[in-house]
Amino acid sequence: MTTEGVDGQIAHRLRSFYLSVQEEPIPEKFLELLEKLDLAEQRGKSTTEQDGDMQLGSQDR
Amino acid sequence: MSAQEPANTFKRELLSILPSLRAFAISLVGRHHEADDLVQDTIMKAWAKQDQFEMGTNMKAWLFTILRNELYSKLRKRGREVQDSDGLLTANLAQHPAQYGKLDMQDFQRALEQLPDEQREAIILVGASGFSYEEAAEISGCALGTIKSRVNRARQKLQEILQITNEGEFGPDAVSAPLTSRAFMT
Repeated sequence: MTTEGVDGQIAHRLRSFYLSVQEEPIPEKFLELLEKLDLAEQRGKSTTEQDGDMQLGSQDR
Repeated sequence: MSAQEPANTFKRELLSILPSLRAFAISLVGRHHEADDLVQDTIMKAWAKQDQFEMGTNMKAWLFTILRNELYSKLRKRGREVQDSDGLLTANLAQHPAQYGKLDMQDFQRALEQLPDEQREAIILVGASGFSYEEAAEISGCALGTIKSRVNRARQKLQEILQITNEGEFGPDAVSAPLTSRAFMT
């Protein structure tokens, strides 16, 4: 129990508010971001010799 | 213990903490694009610093620390123009009305937003995110006693706020009533 100091009703409402958000599915964009980071890193490892034409996100025209 | 792709383990663990990290962000700043930005910045920071993370230690605490530091440095940069928590809140509610199934949740989030930043953070970490007082103190970079008193003050304040809003029922009237009576005097 983590209720030392945090009272019953308030604690309960706080937790259910938090849980309701936590139970929402993770937004796609975060999953995509992680994929991108992972991919960039793997490519970075295997192509250390080539000059980096892999850019994350930034493209100027 | 296989020498598997450490990045994969890192990613997997990060993913598993993401829902809680996001809940933390939303509890801190409201349901707002700012919460998403915070989570995104945290993911990128964490990824860039993953060498500094020791596998097997508490990644959740590590990520939460990054997120809250990110938030506070943003706030500092912005010179605290965000004290307008009412404005933020109206924006939140207007933006995502459908996501609030329960009025109760709205009330609660509104109350949460009225707390001073450090108190809000403290009560969320201890009361919802599942950290011990010790861990929360470490995440917030303050003494154990400080966290305890912040949690206590936060709880008292929440109690006050929630009582007041329940009794008052029509919050805005407190504001508009004096205006109305003044109008009648002219």
